Amino acid sequence: MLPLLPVTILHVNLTSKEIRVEEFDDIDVIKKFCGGRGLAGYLYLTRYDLTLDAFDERQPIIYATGVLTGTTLPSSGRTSVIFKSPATHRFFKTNVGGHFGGELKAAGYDLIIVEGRAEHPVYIDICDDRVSIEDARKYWGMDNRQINNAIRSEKKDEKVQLTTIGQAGENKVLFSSIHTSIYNAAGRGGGGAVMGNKNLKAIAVRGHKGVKVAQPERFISAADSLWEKACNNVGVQGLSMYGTSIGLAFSNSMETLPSYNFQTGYCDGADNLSGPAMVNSGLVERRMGCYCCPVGCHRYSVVKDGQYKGSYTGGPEYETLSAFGSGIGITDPRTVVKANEYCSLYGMDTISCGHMIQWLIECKEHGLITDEQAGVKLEWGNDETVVELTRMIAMREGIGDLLAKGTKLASEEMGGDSYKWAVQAKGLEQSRVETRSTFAYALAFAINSRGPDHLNSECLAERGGSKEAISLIKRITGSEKYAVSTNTEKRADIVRWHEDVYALGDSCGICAFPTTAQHWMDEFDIAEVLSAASGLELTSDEVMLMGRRTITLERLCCALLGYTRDDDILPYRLMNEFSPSKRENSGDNSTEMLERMKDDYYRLHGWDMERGWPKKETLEMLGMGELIPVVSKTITLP
Amino acid sequence: MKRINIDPSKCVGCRICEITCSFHHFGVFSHELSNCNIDSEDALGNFTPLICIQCEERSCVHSCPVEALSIDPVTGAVRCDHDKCIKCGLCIKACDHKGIGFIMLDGEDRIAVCDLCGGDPKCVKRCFIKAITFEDDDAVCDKENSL
Repeated sequence: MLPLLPVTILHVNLTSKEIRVEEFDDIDVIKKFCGGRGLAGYLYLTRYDLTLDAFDERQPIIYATGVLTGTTLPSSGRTSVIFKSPATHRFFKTNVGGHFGGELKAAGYDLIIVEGRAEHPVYIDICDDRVSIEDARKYWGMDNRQINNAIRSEKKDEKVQLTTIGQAGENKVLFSSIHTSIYNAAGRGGGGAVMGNKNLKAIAVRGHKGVKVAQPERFISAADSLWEKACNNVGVQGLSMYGTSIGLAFSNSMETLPSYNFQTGYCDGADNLSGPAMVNSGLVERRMGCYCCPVGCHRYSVVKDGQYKGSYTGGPEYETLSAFGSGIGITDPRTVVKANEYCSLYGMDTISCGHMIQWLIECKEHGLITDEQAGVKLEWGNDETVVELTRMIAMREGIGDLLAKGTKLASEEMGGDSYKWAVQAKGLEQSRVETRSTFAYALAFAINSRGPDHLNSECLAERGGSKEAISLIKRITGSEKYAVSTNTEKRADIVRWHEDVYALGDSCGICAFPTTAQHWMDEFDIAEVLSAASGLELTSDEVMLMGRRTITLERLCCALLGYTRDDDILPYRLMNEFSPSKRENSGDNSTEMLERMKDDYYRLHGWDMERGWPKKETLEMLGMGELIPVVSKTITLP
Repeated sequence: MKRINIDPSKCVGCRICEITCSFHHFGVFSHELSNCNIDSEDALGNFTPLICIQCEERSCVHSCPVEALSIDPVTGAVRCDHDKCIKCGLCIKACDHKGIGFIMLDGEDRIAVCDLCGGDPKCVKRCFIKAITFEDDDAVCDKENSL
């Protein structure tokens, strides 16, 4: 099969047990939305009812491999998982690496759409053209490591790749994650609970086919030159050596490392958690790579001494080290590895899970809960508390049942002022980025259709941390002077470019590191590889428009559900509490600053200023006019 | 002469070697149609590239009952004459390195073994992490002895 022509979709209905394959070949839609994330969003909006409850069995969950996944394009092995989030009650895109996407492509499928709910736990078994729904009752209750081992043993094939949920997904923890290759997680938004609600424990895939491209010589020439660029990139080498927490100690020194539930930007001793420190101490045993990625930023860590001796897991990544480390005042990386292991096995988003613990500790400080009520000693820096609460959340034991609901619902139940230290917006806990000293991030987090999170844009370039970053900011804004993260000018332009290229990258299966974090693959490169692979001649402007339409479509999904610009906010703490850092002009994300940047952003997009909804004329201009009647039954577009 | 050298401790399991090999030999990105394989134990983070290392013993060549296997005098790679091969699998059993195996091509089993891409192995070029290298025989022997 050739990338995009056609897009092969496997439909599985767990209620009716119907299995069918669709060859989607509407070239007009494909040219507008690409495949992967873009096409999945289009299919969701046009074929399914987004207004139904997230746990309604008619809501689909879509596994969308990247268009270029399965080829030798570097860092192209990623898969988007799309569903309605039970945490945010919004259309939710999440994205994962590992090896599931490459195997699914080898089996001959681009997308899997699962609808319905099985009568009892099942897994979907795919081996090339043979697809079946299998009984998984004996696997229910297993963790992610056990289920991978069990199904591979059952199949007598170690090469089977799986996407799975652990006990947290079964227990419908609202931030439970979906795992591939055991330790890679489509972490955010509660996709694990969506699978758990469908009684879907796993999807097992084995593929013996392969992927072809339309113009092999042209493709391999473009892909090879990107490999050369990657291998000669200093950032890639550093990331490969020390992983995503390579800059943690630097952030700490700049007082921008979210610590003590975003009350400070500095945590004494947190330098122990940095990538170089963990490599040098021997905690990180080796690197792990996603499908066809030259970077291998993923870690594999083993605790060799202390009370958590014997724990092992993929990770920990930067976000986990901040969520379970500096965020709680934990400075022993072995404790973070233990908590990370639980999250890997039970299947939970480490960002949200770590945040729940931070929030609960503050609840005690404000007199809203006691140690006796919680069943653990609530204080900053207590290793046992972190590990035990993580387990209790996954199992919904005791206070864990409240925490499993996420900070938005939990703070409503806890009452008092607890919403003030619930560092969430739209029902999603904020990623570990100090937005009070990085204002493109602040804007990007506020307008992000899924919540305050870095994985929809990742505007690292605004900090001007490298020659490439400064030159990118100049290309977007016209001047190098905007490569300063505490400047509020031109943030809308910076955010929109990053969102467009991020969405395009997701649709192609390309990781964020090449495009938005390390700048060794841009829209010109993507246009070239996508053209060579598919045979469609696409320009850089056309591929960026694919990204723009994806972002616009996802915004339309927000509008359909009644969300407006009033919902485009940051967590209370970030907007109302001051946090000094060593960056000039940092402080807080005031309403005034945010609203001004939001005005710029909506104007740039051609969305209306009152609600932040795409205007009809904007949709027509983008060639998305056919979507106007789709949403007009529910809302009136400006 | 140069030989393939493997360092499993470096391998990150990305499988780029597999599909680079299949593309170069068969024009398709497929980890099944490959002369190299990654033996993956992802739960424990263990990955081992399995590929012919042009060993001294050449057990595969000696085990072949029909002399289908031979050694390329220029590159030192093991060659398979597929017309002679009777697909008995004795070479696979004889190889201690798991460097030779069957692939399924057009519905038929076929022996697959690294041909060093004629002396310029493509997988080595792509292995960013240098888990698979192509080195002078003496250097490889020194490394093996030091182990």
